[in-house]
Amino acid sequence: MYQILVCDDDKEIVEAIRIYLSGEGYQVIAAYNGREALEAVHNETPHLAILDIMMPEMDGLRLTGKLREEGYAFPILFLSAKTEDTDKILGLNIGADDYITKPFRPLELIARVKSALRRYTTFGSLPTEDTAQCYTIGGLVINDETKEVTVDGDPVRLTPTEYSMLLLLVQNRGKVFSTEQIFSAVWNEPSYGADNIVAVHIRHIREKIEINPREPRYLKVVWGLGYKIDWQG
Amino acid sequence: MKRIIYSGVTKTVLAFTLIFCCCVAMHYGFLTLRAPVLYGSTDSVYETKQYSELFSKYVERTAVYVRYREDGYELSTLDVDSELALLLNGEVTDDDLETALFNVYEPNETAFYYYHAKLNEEPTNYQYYVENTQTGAVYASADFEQYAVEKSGSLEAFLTSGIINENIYLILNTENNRTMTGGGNNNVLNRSTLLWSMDFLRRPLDEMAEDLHYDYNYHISDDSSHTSDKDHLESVSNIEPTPTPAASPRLNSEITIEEGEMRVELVSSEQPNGTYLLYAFVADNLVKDDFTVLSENISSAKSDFNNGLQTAIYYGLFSLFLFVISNLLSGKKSTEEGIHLHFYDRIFAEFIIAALLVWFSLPYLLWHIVSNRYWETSVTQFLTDYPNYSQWIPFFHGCLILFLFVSGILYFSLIRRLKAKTFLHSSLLGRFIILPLGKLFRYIGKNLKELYHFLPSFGKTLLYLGGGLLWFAAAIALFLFNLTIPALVLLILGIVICAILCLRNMLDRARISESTAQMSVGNLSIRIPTKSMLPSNKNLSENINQICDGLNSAVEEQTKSERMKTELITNVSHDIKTPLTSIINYIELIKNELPQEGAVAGYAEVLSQKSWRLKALIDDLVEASKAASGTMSLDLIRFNAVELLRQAVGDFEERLTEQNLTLCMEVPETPVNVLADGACTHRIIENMLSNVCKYALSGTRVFISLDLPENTGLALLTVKNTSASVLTKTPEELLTRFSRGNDDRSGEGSGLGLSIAESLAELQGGSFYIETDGDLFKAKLTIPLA
Repeated sequence: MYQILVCDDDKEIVEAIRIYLSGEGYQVIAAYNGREALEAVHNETPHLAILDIMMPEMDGLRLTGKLREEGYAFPILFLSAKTEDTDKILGLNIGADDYITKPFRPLELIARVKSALRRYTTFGSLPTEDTAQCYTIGGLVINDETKEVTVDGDPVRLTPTEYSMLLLLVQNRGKVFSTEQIFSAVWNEPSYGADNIVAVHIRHIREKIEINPREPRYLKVVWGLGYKIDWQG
Repeated sequence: MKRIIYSGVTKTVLAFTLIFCCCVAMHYGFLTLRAPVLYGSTDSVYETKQYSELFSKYVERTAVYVRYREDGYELSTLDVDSELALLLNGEVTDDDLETALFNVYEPNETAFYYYHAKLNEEPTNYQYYVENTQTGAVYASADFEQYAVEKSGSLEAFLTSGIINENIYLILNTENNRTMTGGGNNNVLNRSTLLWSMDFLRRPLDEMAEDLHYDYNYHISDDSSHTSDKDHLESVSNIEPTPTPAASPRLNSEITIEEGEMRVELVSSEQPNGTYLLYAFVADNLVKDDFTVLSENISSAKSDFNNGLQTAIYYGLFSLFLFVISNLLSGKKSTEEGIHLHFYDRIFAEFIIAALLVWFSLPYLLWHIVSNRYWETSVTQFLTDYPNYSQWIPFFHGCLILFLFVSGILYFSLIRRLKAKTFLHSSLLGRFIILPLGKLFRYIGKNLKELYHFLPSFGKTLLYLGGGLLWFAAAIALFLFNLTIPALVLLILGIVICAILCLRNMLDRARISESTAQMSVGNLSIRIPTKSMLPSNKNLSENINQICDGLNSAVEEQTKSERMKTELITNVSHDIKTPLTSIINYIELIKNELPQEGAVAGYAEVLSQKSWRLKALIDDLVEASKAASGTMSLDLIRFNAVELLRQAVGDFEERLTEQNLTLCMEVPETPVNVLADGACTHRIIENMLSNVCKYALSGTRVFISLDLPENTGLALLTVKNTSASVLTKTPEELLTRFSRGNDDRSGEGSGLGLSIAESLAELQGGSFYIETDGDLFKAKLTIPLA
């Protein structure tokens, strides 16, 4: 039974989140401003916090900063109406683990909560062992021996082509591959223009490994240059 | 009405009427003017010059004839000279022959016969009676006695009564040198003829022949020129004129004339050949002769004058009226406004005027030629013998009409120019001298005006100049007074001041021009440093600085307002999103609580969809506002546009397939490196493709091409598709915010996609535009090449 702190100045939103999370079997601690949330963290032991950024008394950013300062390591998810990239980057840099924009899809919220919790509880403590056969990036694990791919522990079924493409990117974490490079590496033949097949496959991979394919966490696009695998920017 | 007045028919009729009236007026005018020439101001025919000249001629003939008879010439009644016969038949003009006979006098039979024939053979009303009072010899017209008896009962009574009715007459007594003339006017006989006749009667023929210069033109008081008469004489007579003394001393010293009384007295008469009593008069119309013809002419001229004057005046006035109307109508046309010009109205006006002058001098020249050719008298003769020439009248009228017609054409050409105000322009003088001069004067005037306007600053300049000159004049003056050192000091000081001022001015100008150059390229924060500038330059700089301040604040204001607008939209979007979050969440909850099937579940689904659409709209709105205000920060990098296109298109492939759209791509195989923001470019392409998915006709092809138009430095991406609905809007309308291909707003899309694309494209230095061609929809994006 994980305890999740939900803090938002809009009581209805807190209530709705509480309903969803209770449905998934989580216990919800509700707070309606930054100070209340801080007190709740001090009094209870939440395993995860969902915080609004714009709140009275103490805003989400300052609260996060304070919590991290005080040494709390549990995952913090921001839930904000601010959709700017700068806001997202700022939030993640200050110590948050994920950034969800309002309005959100309940299922996505639950998925992200689950993902964060699993990483925190299962892998977060474990040192990531990057052996020749096993690659771990965030919640994404690829075992090249068994050809198994899991995201936050859930197995993902990929086609052989998709698997080779993912493996190529994962083996070269952070390196940008152009479509031509990916094509020639995977199909072992030079590409002759006018083919969107790589882009289509990338899209399919994303749909399988990402919670929200439009806001990918792992498989990122660098427009005009190519694709890369990285974790949270 | 206007159409009728300005029609060609009206004008033609008017022209012909005008010419006709002019002809009539001139014809009658001629007749009217002829009368005074013929008979002056006299009422009686006997008092006219012509009549008295004719009478004088007969008197002269009588004198010569009597002289011949006195000298013993007798009528042989035998053969008449052939020349004389010709003369008598009127083949040779009287005047020519008689002048010859008179002037080249040599007593001969022919002359005698001529005079005899003139006086006694031809039918005439002229009656004469000459009596030599010494010998008693009498020479008289054949029917003189009969006439005298008829008039006064007897010859004696007739002669003594002296006065022969009101007719013209002359009684001449060479014994006492008395003369008596009748006809109501003292000037009926001209004095020269009278003297000549008296002298002739008294002297022998031979002597007269010697004194050749006692000619027909026996001039005492007459001023008419001799030379022309003499020349003429020669040509007619073919006889060498005998050299003659310049004047006749005898006569000139002997004759005294008392003005007014017509009395001639010979002071010392040298053995007169005889004394004569001469009666001469013109009888009442007995036969048709020169006198009656003259009389008829004069009376017809008189009636012409009475009748013709009125007609001439009426027609003249009417012509004037028509002329005025013609001037008004000239150049007007019913079909066009303003003045219609003919082709010959563009000929230089001087030519037309010259032609008009020549044309008008033509009648004068003709008249001059005619009067030179014939005697001056024959012109008068022409007038006198008008009835004889009347068969020429149609010819004269024709000439007159032609004359009027041509002068009308020339004249109205000038009038049309005046009316159309092209006279100056169409004249040599106007076009090449007056108009250029006018332009020059206007130009000078304008400049003078401007100079006057800026006179204060002009005055200032003059003041400076004057001051400088005075300074140097002072220096020169010092030189003149041999004060070399002060002069040098003054001069050098002046030069130094000048140099400093010039240098200062140059520096100021350099500063101003540098700063304004920067301002012109948009650097509005720059200001011209006005410190230590010359006053006038400082003034100018401060003005420029103020303009720049104004511009700067306006631009700042604009940017600020744009930013505020964006901020407002962003903040509002946050505030909307919070309640929207609750709505979406609770709709989800409702959906979870409800059974999967049923009407209410359907309603909940609609609510869910629409609330997500609301979210999309808000996002688009924020983005559009940011893109338009330029508050977005771009990260320009160099990348391959083909790669980007593949990535973007790959994302859309499935959506296109869902819409049953076939994709045809045509991109270069080599990388196309552009300098742009990748995410931003992707967003544009995404919007273009999303637009295709929404509005393309299902089952058609979509063409995407990437070209490199030459010399533009841009990559051109074109997306072409067939529109599902009719494109009723113009490309400009389609690009405005919230505009959609079809106006019903229920469909997906915010209507901001293309507008955002346009703003973003412009932000990264490219452009985005739309072309439509029937159902073909083309979206074009240009990206600057790296």
